[in-house]
Formats: sequence, structure tokens, C-alpha cells
Amino acid sequence: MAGQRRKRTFIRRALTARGRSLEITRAGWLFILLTLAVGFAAINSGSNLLHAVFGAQMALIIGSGILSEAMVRRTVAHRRPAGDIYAGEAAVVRVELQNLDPRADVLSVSVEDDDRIDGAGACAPVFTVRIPGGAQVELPTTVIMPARGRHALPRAVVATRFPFGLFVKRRELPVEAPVLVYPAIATSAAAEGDDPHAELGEAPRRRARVGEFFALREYREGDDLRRIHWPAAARLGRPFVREHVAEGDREVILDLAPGRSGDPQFEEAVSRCAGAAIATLGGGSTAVGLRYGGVLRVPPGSGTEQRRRLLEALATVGEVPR
Amino acid sequence: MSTPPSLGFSGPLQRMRDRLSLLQIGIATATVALADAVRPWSLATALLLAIWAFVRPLPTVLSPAAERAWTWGIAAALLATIARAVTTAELLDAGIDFLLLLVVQRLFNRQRTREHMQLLLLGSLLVVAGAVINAGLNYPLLFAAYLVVATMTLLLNHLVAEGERLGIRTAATVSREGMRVRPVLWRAAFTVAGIAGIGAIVTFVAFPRWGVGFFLRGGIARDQQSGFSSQVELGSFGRIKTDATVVMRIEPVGEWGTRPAWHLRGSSFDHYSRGRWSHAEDRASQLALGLGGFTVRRDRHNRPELAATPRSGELRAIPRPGFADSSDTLRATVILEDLGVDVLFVASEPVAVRVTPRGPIERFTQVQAGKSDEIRVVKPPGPIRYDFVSRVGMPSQEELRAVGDPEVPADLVAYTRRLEGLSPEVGALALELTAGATTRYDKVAALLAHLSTFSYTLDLQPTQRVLDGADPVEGFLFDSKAGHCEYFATALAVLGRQAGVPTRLVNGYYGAHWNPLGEFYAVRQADAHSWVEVYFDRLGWVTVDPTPPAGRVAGDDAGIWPAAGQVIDAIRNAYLAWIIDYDLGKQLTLFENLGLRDRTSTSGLGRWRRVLIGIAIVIAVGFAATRIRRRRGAARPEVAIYQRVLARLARLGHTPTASESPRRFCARVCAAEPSVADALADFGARYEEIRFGRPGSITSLVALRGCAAALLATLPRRRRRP
Amino acid sequence: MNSIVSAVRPGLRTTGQAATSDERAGLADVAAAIAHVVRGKNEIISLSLVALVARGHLLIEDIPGVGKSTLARCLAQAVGGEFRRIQFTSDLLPADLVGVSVLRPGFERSEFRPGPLFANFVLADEINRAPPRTQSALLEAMGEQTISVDGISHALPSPFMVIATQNPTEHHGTYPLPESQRDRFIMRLSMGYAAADVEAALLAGDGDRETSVVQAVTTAEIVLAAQTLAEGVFVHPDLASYAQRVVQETRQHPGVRLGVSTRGALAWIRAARARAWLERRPSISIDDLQDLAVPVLAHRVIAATNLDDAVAVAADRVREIVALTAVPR
Repeated sequence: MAGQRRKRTFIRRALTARGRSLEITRAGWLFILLTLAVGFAAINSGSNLLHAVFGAQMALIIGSGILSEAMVRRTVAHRRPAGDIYAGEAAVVRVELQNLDPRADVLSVSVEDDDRIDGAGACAPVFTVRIPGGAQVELPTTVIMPARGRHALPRAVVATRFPFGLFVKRRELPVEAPVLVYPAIATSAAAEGDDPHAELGEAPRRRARVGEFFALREYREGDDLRRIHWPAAARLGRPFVREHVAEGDREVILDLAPGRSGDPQFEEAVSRCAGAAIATLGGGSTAVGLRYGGVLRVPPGSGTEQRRRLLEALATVGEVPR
Repeated sequence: MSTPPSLGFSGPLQRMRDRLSLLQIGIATATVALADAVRPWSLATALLLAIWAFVRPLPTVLSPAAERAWTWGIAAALLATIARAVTTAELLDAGIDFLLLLVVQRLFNRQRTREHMQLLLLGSLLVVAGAVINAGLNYPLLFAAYLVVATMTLLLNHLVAEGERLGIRTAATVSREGMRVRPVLWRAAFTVAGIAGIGAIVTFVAFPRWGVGFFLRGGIARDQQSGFSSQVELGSFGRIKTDATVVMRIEPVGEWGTRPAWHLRGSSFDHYSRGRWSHAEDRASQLALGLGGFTVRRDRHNRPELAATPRSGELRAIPRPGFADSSDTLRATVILEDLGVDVLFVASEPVAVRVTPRGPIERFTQVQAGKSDEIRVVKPPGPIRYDFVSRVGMPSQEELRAVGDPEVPADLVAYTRRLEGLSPEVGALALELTAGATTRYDKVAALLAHLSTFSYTLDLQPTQRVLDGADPVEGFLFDSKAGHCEYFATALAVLGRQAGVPTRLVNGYYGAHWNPLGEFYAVRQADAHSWVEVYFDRLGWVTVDPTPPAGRVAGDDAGIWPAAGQVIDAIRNAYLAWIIDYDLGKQLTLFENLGLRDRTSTSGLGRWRRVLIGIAIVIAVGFAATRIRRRRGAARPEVAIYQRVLARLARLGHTPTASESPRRFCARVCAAEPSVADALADFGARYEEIRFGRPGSITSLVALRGCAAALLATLPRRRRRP
Repeated sequence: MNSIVSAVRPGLRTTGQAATSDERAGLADVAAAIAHVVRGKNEIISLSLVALVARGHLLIEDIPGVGKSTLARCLAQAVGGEFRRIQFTSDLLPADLVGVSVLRPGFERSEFRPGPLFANFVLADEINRAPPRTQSALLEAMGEQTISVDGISHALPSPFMVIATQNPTEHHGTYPLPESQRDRFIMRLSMGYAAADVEAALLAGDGDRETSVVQAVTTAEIVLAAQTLAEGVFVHPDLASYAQRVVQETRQHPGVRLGVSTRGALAWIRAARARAWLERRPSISIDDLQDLAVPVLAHRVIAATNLDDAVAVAADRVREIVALTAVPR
């Protein structure tokens, strides 16, 4: 198997130039062998019809090359993430395929990972039967990025086996802009206990009047007396309390010990931290912040923007090993 | 690694592929079947099995037991094929039968793409086999159809394979989408088939013909049309008298005049027994090689019968004393279809024959002398092309009489041998008829006079005498007094021998039909005929035809539609001459006609020098063009578009300076070309935006392309004369 | 500080696309408003806008009385920023520019009294009249956008732009800017006389242009946003390498003694970005670079010449080099 792989890559490399690579499939080899045999027989026997058959086969090989070249040349593809990408988890990627030729169709092209480059991540291939001239199609697929951080999506190629599946022609595509891969979310952390954040951050402390003022309302049984708004109570003769936006009920600062990115233990810690952050923010009532190595990286806050900020910070923390 | 389970998905695309797969294999089989290379029973069996395989519901997965059974079956068939090839030398038959078996096997298991691919491969093998053995006009038509169908099948198969590769959901989408874009796929298939067809023609025309001929084509020699094998059953001719198939085309060489009819001599027999003519003599006549590739016949005294005029090199027959017209010769080129026999047909009395080989493989074709002056040939199957020179002059009545009734030479005694098994009545009749005749001519004339009272018919009922065991010729002579050419000829030969006249039976063709389109004479199967040759000592063998003239000619109404028949004959003749017999000579002639080659240079190297120089120039230009393209960085589509516009503007006299940006250049040209100013300025701005813009804004490229197309359409092609 | 950055930057970036049109419109109004006063100088006005958006400083070199000061004043007024004019003289000290710390009696600490440099737009008139020490204080403030007095750094307001004028003909008793210092100005412009018809109209006109006031049409915030947005304009690698080739050529050209520095090349690209942004293009073009070559590069080049008019020769050299360097196709 290894030997075969080596041979294949050798031939692929030999047939690679100008951003194109050509692979000959098994059927392709058979066809080439048959063509050679017919050519040999034609020359040997001098049979005119064999010459014609040989010519037709040669033209099929050449025509197949021309057609596949036309297909990959006309096609431009871009991969764009369609949402957040978490390490080690399938994320949706939209593949935009555009036919540059305003008239001619593109038939049977796929966008696949360039398997010659051992890049991070793997993207499932997409295939389309036809892109009409000048048109653009968008196909969803999934990508799995193994590690958090700023990474380019796997290097893509436009590939076609058109028209006969005898040869695979691939055209390299330019490197896409890097995407930010969020750390894997360790979900187990939330289920561990009632107070999962205890070991990670400071103990939550109550704050009576945190958050913005919202409104005044009448005092109800059980309200904190400290929240009574005395001027209003005096003016209206009934006790009134201040209401505040709920955000500031609790505040958690997640503390992440410094480490090197790539180190499994550190990565696990980051994952757990991310899991805790997501779980805590999910409740909606807790402000979450992040401290890394004693420095406050993300001030506490809540909401989806805060979630993004936290994940972005967690995606890039850690010393980059030289 | 275990094989992935076969996908159970079957959509409309898969069904279409299925049908096309069958169609392409059908066409491929037809290419060999129409060359009569498949035995009817194996063809019928294969057909039945194929239909069964096709109508039965296809199991999604082949059971292991069935798989094992097929494997063993194929192995056994392979062994049987090898055994058959070794023992009976029917290599081609055996091979094709084996191929058909493989086809059937694949048809029974065609679940996966791989099997369809194998079917296509088998199809192409059959087509290749067809190319070797099918010289018929049907082959190019079938080949064209095959190219289209096979291409489409390949396309569909490829799409299905992509679907299978990417999972069942994609497979369903691909199947649906593929059906929707069928017209596009057909168009692509036609395009590719067209490219392949052009490739075939170009290779065919231009590919240099050389070869060493390791592979001889397999023999399919088989007596399909009776009448010319080494034994002839009396009465076998009757059924081919209505067959309008053209068997020979005769092109006149040199002055010919009008010769509406000849006897084209094929096989000849000296022994008759119980309704069957055969060869008794072992002795063959003498042939010698010489004179421009012609094989020259020698006479009984071992002298060549042909000589060349010393100065002009014109070929002429050696005259015979006492035979004024003996040097009256005729030369023609004949294309003879493969009749499955090795006899060459030549007019009247052959003098010399030359086979024109088609390609190196036929250099091995050998002309041999047969018995009773037959000319036989050892050749591969397929049509054969040859020239002949024949003595066509007939001795006059006086010359024949002058011979008298000489003693029969010892070496010709076989031709006077009385035939055993005949009743004495025949001898009595012969003697009675020739009672008063003194010369051999008079004897023959008396017999002919008797036979001329008989009537010609193809509808023969065996008489009581024949049913009781008598020789069929007796039934003809005494009871029915009606029959066709074979009976007349046999009767004359038999009666002549009873009267001491050396006779032999000749089978061949009589008459020919002028085809004005192709400028040749066509000879049909229906023109088959039998006659007699009588030995007149120093004059040689003289043709005597006892059949009444009405029965000799089949008539021109043989075809259902004679005019169309003529056209098809002409096309077929051209096909044989220019396609099947295309050779180095024809290639050079073609190049000369196209002006690609100088007639004067004929040396081995000089002949190809121009071609080689041409190829070198093409390669060099291609290489240079590639280099220039690469240097210009035409890999980017927008740059290629810009280059096109630049090229057009350069023709109008506008070229950018080295430091001029595209936008600025366009703006400058705008002033000079007010008609396209807006489009040009727009193009320049768009181009720069794409060329130096952020990669990824892909939609604008289409707009640029459209813009360039509009621009090129409106720009004048040449500088207007002021 | 950190929180401010994180609060402002993402906000700018996310709302950038939507706000772009407003900012561009505001700046277009700036050009129109100035053109109303400074007639017939549209090219100079747009170049000074480019300099503004490119976070650069302007050096206007020309004879007196052609509208240098008016241009600078109008620019400041139209943007609505604070404007100061400093007349450079031979006795001007650095402290006169940056301000001083004064010790207030009764208070036990010193108080910083900011100098005239603490404004959005500073017109440094006849900069070559001041001694080099004063010049370098100005240039340092331009480079750093902060001022250090007594070891305490004070941030200058944003946007901050210095428009310096220099009189090329008066050599006596002046200190021409050294070549290395000129590098700090993104562009050197030359006003030139107004066209005949414009001048005639000017003479016939009623308003005194020295006093005519330009209404503020935009705000300093919008200018700041524009500066940030312009930095996002795309530079194609081919154009970057083209710019590099031109710069390299100035260093190798036999008629040039000192070529363009890397800082000069960066300024060129920054100016091209600003121009492209102002012209509503998402990426810079060859024309941006070519058109800006003389204003941005000429004063960074020292021509090898004995002629008096070294400035004009340098501009010619730059033009020549641009005309000879092949553009990417």
C-alpha cells in the first residue's frame, strides 16, 4: 500500500505543472494500455481501420484533457465558513463555485482538499453536475479543523474527472483568508456539579445594584429593603423599589493558567474554560470575563458579543511554540 | 481492505446508463457480427442471454455463490477457448466467442460503475476486432454510432461514479441533475465524439504507413457461397442466381472498348461422378514470376505466355500459331470481395496475374497455380485487389476446324476419361449425335445443337429416374430436358467426353454491369455461371457455353432499386479503394494533391523530410507560444481577456507604453476611437479593478468578459483607410 | 486604555462599511467648501485631502502670496477642527511651540500650559526661518503625535496635521529643512500662480479671501474614521512590487544622489490608499501610484545637480523614473 502510494504521488508530481495536476485513474491506465496496444497492432498490421481506431482513441485522450482543462479553468471556487468553527467539530462551510465563462457550461466539477498538502483540517468534497455559463452555485459542506487558532481552511483544488473518469485533473486554488477556529467546547464541565466555576474562577459575589437602572416599581413582599427608592416613596406615599437590568446578578472571571499552545494539557484546559464560559453565559444572568496568566484579557460581560470575545480570546491564547 | 458494499441506489440516470451500455455493446457486437465473424449459434445464444440479463430484475448485490459460479465458468470457458484455438486454429472465432461470453457475464452483473467500465472496455475490444475483420461499408457507420454512444455512456458512467464516490445523497442529486442536463451531456458527447472522429481521420490520413507485420490477420476462410470450392455439387448454383450482392468490381486498364460480357473464369474441374465435380489430376499448371510483378502462366511446353515489348514495356501475350486473335489481350484491375475461397477470377484464358498488396501484411499473399488452370491465392481474409492480363480473343470457326480431330496428348487423358456410373444410354446418345462429325469442332457443334433444344429453368424437380438413383445429368438429358447452366455445362462436358473430346467444367461469372458513377464493372453473385472448355490442341482450351443466352445473364433488375444499388456499389468501391486499401502510395498521392509534397523527391529520407520539418515547426511554434503565454502571465483569466483586447487594439495601431497603466491606456485610446470610448473606458476601469483588486470578488470577472466581448464586437477589425 | 481600544476599534470596523459613504461625502464636501475659497486649485485641494486621510503632513513650498495659508486655514475650518497658525521666525524657540510647565504660586505642583501645537490643524508658516532646534521639535511632534515636557508626555489631539510652508527663493538668513527631515512630510506641494481667468475673477470679486470663513462641513471624528477606513484599502502584491521597483530605481538612478527611503515608500502606499478610498475604489491602482509619485517622492529625492532649482530637477527625475518603469499588466 505504501509503495503504491509512493508510486502514485511520484506520477502525480511528474504530471504537475502550473497549478495543475493530473492523475490517471485505473480505468485511465487501462484505456492508455488499450490505445497503445491498438497503436502497436495498427503499425504492425498496417490495417487502415486500426489506424483510424487508434486515432480516435488518441483523440479521446487528448479531447478528454482539453475538456477537463476547460472545466477547471472556467471554475473559480471559494470556501467561506457559514458559522462558528470549533476545533475538532464539523462546521458548515459554503463553497461558492463560479463559472467564469459567460457562455459555456461547466460540467461535473468538484471542490476537494488538496491531498498533496498535509494541511490542518479536512473539508468534505462537494460536487456539482453543471454550472451554467456565468452562473454561480453555492454548495454546503462540512469542515473539521483539528486545532484552535487562526488557520487557513484546508487548501482546496477544483477537480474534475470529466468527461470519462479516465483522468483526474486538479487545479490549485489560491489560499483563502485564515479563519479563526474556536477551541473545542468541553461540555462535560457543566454537568460536573452545581457550581462548575468554583475551581475555575473567583467565587461569585452578590452585588445589590449592579447593572443599569431599569425602572421603579411598587414594593413587594420580600424585596430587599436597601433597594427602596426613598425619594419616590416619600413623594408618592408608597414604598417603591429600583429595578436594575439582571445582567449584573453574578460575575465570573475565568482564570486560565498560562501554557503553550499545542500542549495537550493546556489545550484541554482551554477547552474546559471555553465549555465553562459557554455554559455560564448560556444562563444569561452571569457576566463572564477571562483572565489569562493574571492579566484580565476579557472584561466581564454577557450576551452574544461577549461570547464571541471570549471565544476569540480563547482561540488565540497560549504561547506559540517556536 | 474490503470492497465497499454496492450502492443500492438506482435512479433514472442509472437506468439510462444501463440502456446505453447495452446499446454500445450491441453496436460493438454488430461490427464483428456483420463481418460474419461470429457463428450464428453463438450470436443467438449471446443475444438470448443478453435479453434475459436485461429483463430480469438486477440483484443489488451478487451472491457469493453466484460470483464463484461465474468465476469458475469464465475460467472453464477460457480453457476451452485456448484448447479450441490450439486444436482447431480458429483463433478469431474462439476469441470472439469468449469476448461474447464475458459480455454476457458483465451484463448479468452490472451493478457498479466498474462493471459498466468493463462492458465499455469489452465493447472497444470488439470494435477493434471489427476493425481488423470488417471491411464492409457498415463499419464506418457503426463506428461513428459507437463513438457517440460509447462517449455518452462513459459520460454517464463518470457522473454515476462521482455520485457513488461522494455518498448516496450526492448520488441521488447527481442522478436527478444529470437527467435534467441531458441535452448538455449529449452535446458534450457529440463534441467529444466529433473530436475523436477528427482524430481518427487525421491519424488515418497522415499517420505514416510502415510496419513489419508480426501479426497476421486470422483466417475466417469459410465456404459461404458455394460453387468455387474444390468440390462442387451439381445444383448448388441455383440458389445464388437471385443474389444481387456485388462480388467483384472490375476497373479497366488501358484501351478496352465496349465489352459487355465475358466469361470470368474461376474454378475448373476435370472429374465428374454422381452429380459431383471434383479434381482428379494432381498436376498444376506452371507459373513464373516476372514482368512488373506479374505472375505469368506457362504453357504446356513451359514457355511463359507473356512478354514485354522491349522498348515501350507494354505487355502482350505471346501469339499462338494458327490463332489470329491470340494476342488480343485485356488488362483490368479487380477488387474481389472475400468469398471465402481462394480462387481468383480472370477473364477467359489468363496469361498473367498480379496481386496488389494492401500494406505489408499482404506482401505475403501468394499467387499459386491451381489444377486445371485455376489461379488460386493464399491470402488473409478480406477483399483482395489484383490485376490480370487475359487472352480474350476467340479463334474463328475456320481456325477451330483447321485443328481437325487430333490425338489427345498423354497429359490430358484425364479430360477424356469416360465417367463411370453413367448408364450406357449417355454414351449412345453422344455417339449418335456426333456420328457424322469429322473434326472436334463439328462434334462440339453437333452436341451444342442438341442442347440448344433444351430449355433453361431454375425450377428443378428431380425426375423419377434420378430419384431411383441415376445420375442427375441423365435426368436432364433424357427426362426434363430443362435446367440451368450447371446442367447444360455438365451435359456438354459429359457428352463430349463420350465422343472423345477433352472437356472440363468451369465455374465463374458471366457478364458485368457498368457503373457510370464509379467507372467500373460490377459483377454480382447472380452472375455466377458454369460453362465448358474444350481442348483444341495448339489453340489451347477454348470456351464453349452451352447454356441458352437467356439463362446466361441474370439481368439488371436484380436489385430492388438499381439506381440506388449503383450508388451504394460506387461508394463501397471508393471505400475499399481509399479506406481499406489506403497505403503509403495513396498517402503520398494525397499529399501531392494537397500540395504538401514535392513529386520529385522520392528518396526514402526526402519523402518524409518535409513532413518531419513540418512537425518540427509545429512543435517549435507551439513551444514558443506556450512560453510567450506563460511569460505574459496568461494564467489569470482577466489578463487573458486584456491581452485579447490589447491584440485587437494593436491591430488598429494602439499600443500601450511600458509605463502606461491599462486604465490610462484605455483613456488614451478613447480619444482616438470615439465610437467605443465609453465601453473602452469602462473596460479599462473594470480590468484594473479586477486585476489589482482584492482576490475573491469573482462576480465582476463575468462582467469584464461580457464587456470585452461587446468591445471586441464593436471595434473595427482593421485600420480604416483615411 | 486597553478597554478604549477594544471598545472603539471593533465598533469602527463593524460599522465601517455602512458609515463609509457618509465619511466620503463629508470629505467631498470639504473639497467643495475649500474650492469655494481657494479657486482653481482643485488638484492641490484633493492632494491635501489625500494627505489628511493618509494621516500625513503637508509641506507647501512656494513663493509668498499664492494662497498657502488660505488653503491650510480653509482645510481646518471645513473639517471643523481647531486651527492654529504659527509664524516661524528666527527667534522662535521649541517651548514656544510645545508649551511650558509653569509653577503656579500656591499650588505645590507645576502646571502644563500647552503651546500652539495643541490643535488639530497647525499651519507652520515659513518653517525654514526658524532655527533647526525649533524645526526638529516640530518634526518630532509630527512623528510621535505626542509631546514630552519635563518627562511627562502629552498626547496631541487627533486628527493632527501640520501644514508647513517654505519659501524656496529666500535663502538669506534661513535654515532650509534638511533632506532627512523632509521625509516626515507625506507630500510636498507647490501652489503656483492661479490661472489667469481665475486670478482675474479673484481680483474682480468682492470678498476678501483672507477673511472669508468656511463653514465646517464635517467633524474630526469622521476624519478619524476615514483615516482608519482608508488603511483597509487593498494593495495588490503586484502593485506593491511595482512601487518597490520605482523606489529601487530612484536609488540606482545616476541622476539621483539620494533615493527614496523605506519610510518614503510606505508613505507613497499610504497616500495611494487614501486616494483610492476617496475615489471610492476598494483597491489602489497604478494611476494612484503614478499620480502621487511626484508629490510624495520628489522631496525625498536629492538630484545630483548643480542647478539652482534642485527641487524642479528632483521632480523631473521622479517623472522620468516613473515613465521608464514598466507597470504590471
